[in-house]
Amino acid sequence: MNVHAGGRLPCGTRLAALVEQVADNLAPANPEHQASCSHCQETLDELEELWGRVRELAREQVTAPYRIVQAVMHGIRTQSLLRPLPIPFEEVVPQLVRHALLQQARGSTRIADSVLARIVALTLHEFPAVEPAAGTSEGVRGRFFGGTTSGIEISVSERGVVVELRVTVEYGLHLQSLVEVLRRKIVERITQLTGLVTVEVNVLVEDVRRPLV
Amino acid sequence: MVLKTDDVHLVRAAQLGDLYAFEELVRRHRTRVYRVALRMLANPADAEDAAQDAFVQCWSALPGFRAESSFSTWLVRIVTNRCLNMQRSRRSEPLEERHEAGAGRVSEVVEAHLELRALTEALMRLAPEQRAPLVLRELEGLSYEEIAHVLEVSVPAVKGRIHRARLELVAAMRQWR
Repeated sequence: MNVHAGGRLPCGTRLAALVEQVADNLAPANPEHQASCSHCQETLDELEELWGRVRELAREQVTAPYRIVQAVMHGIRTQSLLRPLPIPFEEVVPQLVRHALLQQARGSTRIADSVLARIVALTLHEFPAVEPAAGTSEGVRGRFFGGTTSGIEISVSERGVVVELRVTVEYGLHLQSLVEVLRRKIVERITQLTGLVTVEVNVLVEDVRRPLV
Repeated sequence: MVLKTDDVHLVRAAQLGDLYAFEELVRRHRTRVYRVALRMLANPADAEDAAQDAFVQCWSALPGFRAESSFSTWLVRIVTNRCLNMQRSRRSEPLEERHEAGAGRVSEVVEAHLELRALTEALMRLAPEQRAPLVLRELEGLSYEEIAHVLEVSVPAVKGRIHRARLELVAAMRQWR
């Protein structure tokens, strides 16, 4: 390659134009001259060789070590502990679901209070003479489960689960005994299925009804 | 299926603080980010550092990411700037030291390919500001528009820089033969 000052070949062609042609794979600006000019041909050959290497480098397989992922995530987890979430939590979970936290050592297990309400509702099905009061009182989670958990309210505190229950009972039964059996059954089911401690089952007998024939 | 999720959804989840979504993004884009850093710095250890820093910075800046470019181009922008900063601070080191350290490291990168080594060394002889657009164009295949976005300059400015950088590279490689 013989390049004069000013970046021109002896034939007057600009080196830059040939570099552009090779690098961008363009058609020659002046094909007739190029085909017959030995300066241009020589330079093009050299440039093709050089750019062949550039293309080879572009194709070279590069593998990023996996430890990059680990190092990044470690750095971010450490950083995240020191700084709040980028967006307030309420925006992430618009309907704040209340829950019981069971275990945190190797990842958390949380049980939504709606699940506990459902367990109580299903326990009530074991008692044909008892049914939860229809309708919803304030704070009852009827919007999640329609009528199925109406009459049942759950709250979870550090002490354990508290169940508030409103029921209708069949006429003729001894209410206090029945409620005591019901209370024990509910406590037993919640422990069996979730491992949670139930500290109170408060029952309001709202009504009595005629036996179903 | 995490693997089939679009970047867009993963980015949205990560913006809300989902670390698992972000981890998947890091996994997907780590090779590209590392490769850009490797071409800019010609040193695997430095490239790894730059890639890590870039992802951590990306996480911090994520809430402000407005998807004006693809997530991938945005990452390239972060890592390119990171490399340019690293090299700016390194320029203050004594010349001799820099040269020795550089030469030793370059040989590790492409030991097997002498010719590619020559190219890498020629690239390293360019000023980082010239090397960046060349790496992005010739090695990463970015469009002029994308490079303009990465380097925060106009498209004509990018074309000019690449044009000059190519001539510099040709001169550097010829000198080396």
